[in-house]
This record gives sequence, structure tokens and C-alpha cells, in this order.
Amino acid sequence: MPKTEYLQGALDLLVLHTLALGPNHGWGIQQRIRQVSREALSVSQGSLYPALHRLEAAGLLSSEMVATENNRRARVYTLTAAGRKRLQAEAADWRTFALAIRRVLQTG
Amino acid sequence: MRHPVRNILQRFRQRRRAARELDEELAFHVEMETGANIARGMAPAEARRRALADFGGIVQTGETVRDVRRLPIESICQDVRYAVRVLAASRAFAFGAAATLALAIGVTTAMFTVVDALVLRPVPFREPEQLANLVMGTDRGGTYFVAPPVVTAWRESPVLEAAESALTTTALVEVGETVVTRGLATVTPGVFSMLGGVRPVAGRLFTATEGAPGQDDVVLVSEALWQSVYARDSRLLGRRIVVDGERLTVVGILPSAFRFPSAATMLWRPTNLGHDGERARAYVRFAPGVPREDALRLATDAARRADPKIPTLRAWAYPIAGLEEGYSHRALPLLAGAVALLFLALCANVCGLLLARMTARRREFSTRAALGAARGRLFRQALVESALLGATGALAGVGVAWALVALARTLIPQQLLAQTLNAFDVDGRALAVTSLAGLAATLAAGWLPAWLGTRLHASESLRIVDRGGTESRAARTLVRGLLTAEVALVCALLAAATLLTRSFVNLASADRGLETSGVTTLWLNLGAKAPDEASRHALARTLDESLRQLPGVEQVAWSYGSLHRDSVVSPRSVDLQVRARAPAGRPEGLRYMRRAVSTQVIPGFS
Repeated sequence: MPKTEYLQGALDLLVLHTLALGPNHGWGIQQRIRQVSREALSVSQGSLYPALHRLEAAGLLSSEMVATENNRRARVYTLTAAGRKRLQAEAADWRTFALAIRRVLQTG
Repeated sequence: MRHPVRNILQRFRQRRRAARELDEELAFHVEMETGANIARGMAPAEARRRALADFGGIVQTGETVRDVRRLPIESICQDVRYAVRVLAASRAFAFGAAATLALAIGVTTAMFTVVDALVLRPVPFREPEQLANLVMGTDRGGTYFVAPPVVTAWRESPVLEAAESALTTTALVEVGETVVTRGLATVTPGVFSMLGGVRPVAGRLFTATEGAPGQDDVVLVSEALWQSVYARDSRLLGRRIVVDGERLTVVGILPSAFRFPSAATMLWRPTNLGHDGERARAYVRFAPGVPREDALRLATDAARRADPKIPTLRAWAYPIAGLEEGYSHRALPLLAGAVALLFLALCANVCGLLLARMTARRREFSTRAALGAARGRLFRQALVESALLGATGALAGVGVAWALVALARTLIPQQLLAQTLNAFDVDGRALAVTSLAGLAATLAAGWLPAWLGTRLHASESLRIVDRGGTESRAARTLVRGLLTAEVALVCALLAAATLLTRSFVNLASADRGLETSGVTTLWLNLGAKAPDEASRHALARTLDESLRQLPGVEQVAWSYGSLHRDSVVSPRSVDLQVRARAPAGRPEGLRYMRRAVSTQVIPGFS
């Protein structure tokens, strides 16, 4: 599993990307990141929920309480237009960054 | 955004709902995780335990999320609540510091109010330096009065923008069954526009023609009189009141802040200076741009032409209010200086109190820093705490200032108080300056413990505190230096304040060439009861005999008119003055003469 400090900067990006696929609740986002990364990335709840609320406060996400089948209410997050824009920008940044790292590692 | 208060309330309500929903959200997560664990084949209890453990502390996550959501105002409220608890815990300290600050602010403001009203700004009218009381005299003195043609001549002079007359006297006002004595001024109608900015509370000012014989049965009354005697009766306007036996129609009510020509004036009657034997007391406004000496020379020429009886007298300009260039004019700023120094000393004391608490506060701040409080947060806490202390002190200071000014109004001798035309209210600017200075002092002193407490690593800072204060060298020097400077400052300030007060006492007790102890002055306003000199003498003789028989009365002297108040014997009323002296065991005749020739009568005038 990669060290958490790598993950820290990418958490917003991961959350935004996951929600770009469709609205989801916190647990769903966590499971999705774990599955898609084939168990390589595990986002702790202690980081995930503050991040979700922070992104919502910044207007990148919107949320509403939705009743679930087991008679509970879950908060379901949706990407806003601003969030979609931010996702594109951050994804582009990340690709540039990753490419640069790979290039550095390939030399020598 | 339009209703910030409603906005905040709404956000508080939203926050409560958000907290409930956050709990739900996190519980939902645990439940889903438990379900997933069961699906992987765990026992339900184990599945839930693992889910919770995996969650990494549900409370902590909730707290972190709440921090993201918290409004800045909430944490400030929290700081204020905490500060109140801290101050309540050390009540003696808080009370001492706030009371010292309140005293400093209150005394300084009250003193400034007095000095401002009496010395700095005694005339509250437009361009007061252009206003003057113009008299005719020699360099050894003169009279306050001029002949009406002189006023007319001055009115036409280009060096004077305006020339009006105002004469004060006392009048008997009949209110129902009782009669009260109040200051009355006989003024020319133009006096209000000369002073500028006079607006009646109700009714109107005098018209230009009012004051001519037959048109002078109108009167303006002060709001103060309206309030004290007529209980703010709105029907007073247009009613007739009896003043000195004459029925006068009230045409307007002037604000109680309007005091002219003397602070005691409550009634104004118009005159056009056309009555038989009438005298005038000239108040003028100099035209701008003319050197004062030239203006006075031209005014002298005009007066000599208008009144052939005064070929040798010159025009002199006196300020229309304010202390004379006497001892009080020098003494009051001295006293004010002493009070200003006292203010600094008291502020320094508050700082000292705060600094003395520093060791205890340092420990607390270090502990909180060690427990993970952010430095900025600790700073804010310290600032909120000092601000609370400072604000309490400042608020109490406002109360002290009000009380002292109210006290000054009754304690300052009427003669002194009558020197200002100001309303003599607490000075807002002085209050603002002293409050801000006091607040700044407490903030500065409160900020230091937080800075020292959080400057080092938490562990080191705690170690220092626990070992009994082996501070780093720099911190030790700083604290010692501050305390030494503070004590030195207080000593110096107290010494200076004492010296200034001593000078004030010396000045105040300087021999003024009069023996005033035991002398009592009485005024009798006879109204129309004693119209001529013979009847006045008769009345005085009867009174004189009974006064001399009073135990303790040694001497009695009489005068008509007033010697040390600048009122006059007007044709409408008569002032009879009685001076009685209590026993002092000394020959008195000479002293009496000296008292009679007080500074208020300008000697040398024939």
C-alpha cells in the first residue's frame, strides 16, 4: 500500500473523480476507491469525511440526505459544475506531475 | 446578507440540523461496514467491533468534520465564555484591574470635560474667535455698557460683521401660585443669527421688528426652564406668562444647550434699544480678514462719533466666555496635566497586574499548547480575555465619567461654571481616547503571556514552568525589564502628578487680596415692589436691623446692583444685595472695601 503522504494530496482528486461517475455516499466512495485501485488505496474515514465536508463547503459538491433500503438515512454527495471543472484541472495537474516523476525515475 | 443577525441565527439552526445529520451519516457508514464484514463471514459482534476500530474513532472524525464546518463566530463565543470563566475564577484580580481602568478612564474624561468647557472651548458657537464683547474704556478699565447709538454705529461699520446687544438681569417668573427667580437677558433680535446655528426646539426666534416699544411683549424660554418649571407642557407655546409683573407671550423654546449671554440665562426678551434711558452691552462678530488692531481702531472712531460723551475711551475686545486670565486659567491645565499623568500611571498599573499574573498564565498556555492548541488560537484567547477585561473597565469608566461630571456640575462653584457657555456634558472624544488607550494597554499586557507561553516547544515550555521558572535568558530579561520599567514609570508619573497637584494647591491658595472666609452674599430681587430708591432704603433698613440681631452675624453691608456678577439694575427689576459676615475676631471695614473692589469691577472708570 502506498504511503499515506502520497495519498493526502490526491484525496480530493480521488473523491471528485469517484463522484464524477455518479452520486454516492461516503461509504460507497470509500469502497469504490478501494475496488478500482484493487485494494492498493485505502482512504481512512478520518480523512474522507472531513474532506467531503470541506469540498462541499467550497461548493465543489452538493449533498442531500436520502433514505436507504434498511430504513437509515445516508448523505449522498453529487458533483457540482464547479467540482467538475476543478476535477479536470486537478486531473491534468496530476498527469503532468506523474509524468514528470516517471521521467525523472527513468533516467539513469 | 441584508440581515446579518437573522443570517447568523439561521446558520445556528442549520448547524444543529447538520450535527444531527453528521451523526446519522457516520452511523450509516459503520452499519454498512458491519454489513460488509458479515458478508465476508465474520460474526455480527466481531464485524461491528472491527467496523468501529477501522473507523478510527468516530468521535474524532465527527470533531474534525465539525471543525471544517464551524463558523468563526462560534469559536469566538467559546473564547468569550472561557474568558468569563477565567476572570470569574480570579475575581479579586479582575475586579482590581477593571476598577483601576474604570477610574482612570472616568477621572480623565471628567477632567478633560471640565478643562475643555472652561478653558479650551468655552464658546460653542460658529467661529468663536471672531466673537467678542466690545467695551469702551481706557487701558485701566472701562464699562461694559455703551449707549445704543454706539451699537448702531458698530452695526454699520465694515470691520464688524454684526453688532448686537444682550443685557442680563434676574427676573421673577410667576408660575401658578409661586414665584421663581431666573436669569433673563434683554437682547436685540439679531443676536441669534450673529451667534449662528441657533434653532428653537419649538416655536420661532424673534422677528426683526420685535423689540420696538409696543412689540416687546414676547419672550423666549429655555428648554431647561420649560422642563423644570412647566414639565414640558406643549401648550406653553403661545401662552402668556407673567415675568416681573408683565404678561409676555412665549413665542419659542430654545434648546437647553444654548447658553447666552450667560450660563444662567433662561429667558430672553427682545429690545430695539429704543427705550428711554436704555443701555446696551455690545456683542460683536468681527469681519474676517481684518487685523484685530485695525478693527478696534475703526470701532473706536465709530463709537466716539456716535457718543460724544466718550471722546477719550477706546474699544476693547473681551472674549464672550471662558475663564479670565486669572489663577484658574493657569491652575486648571495644571490639574488636567496631573490627571493625565495619573491616567498613564493607572494604565501602567493595570499592565503590571496583568504581567504579574503571567507565571500562572504561562503554565496554562504551555499546557494547552502541549495538548495541541494552535498558536493562533491561544493568541486569540489571550486577546479576547484582555479585551473583555478592558471592555468591562471602559464600560464602568463611562459610568464613572457620567457620575463625576454630574458631581462636578453641583460641586464646581457657580461662578466658575457660569464662565462657560457650554452645556457641560461628558466629552465624547475624551471618552473615546481614554477608553481606547486603556483597552490598548490591557491588550498589550494580555498578549505577552500568550506570546511567551507559546514561543517555545510545548514540552520545553512546560519543563520550564514545572522547574519553577528557569526561563530562557532572553525571556527572563524581557519580563524583568518590563516589570522594572513599569515600576519606574509609575514612580515617575506619581511624582510628576504629585508635583503638579502641589502647584495647583499653591495656585489655588494664593492670596487673592480678599478675605472671603465667613462672608455670605444674599440677593433679593424686589421686582416691582420697591420701584424707587426711597422704598428700597426703607426695606433695607428693616432687613438690616433684623439681620444684625441674628446670632453670629458680625457685619452687614448693602449694595444695589451686583458687584461681582455682571448683571445690571434694569428699569424692570431691582437687585438688592446683602453681605453678612460671620465672626472672625478681626476689624473688618477695610476688608469689606477690598472685597467690594473685586476683579469684576473694572477700576479706573469714572
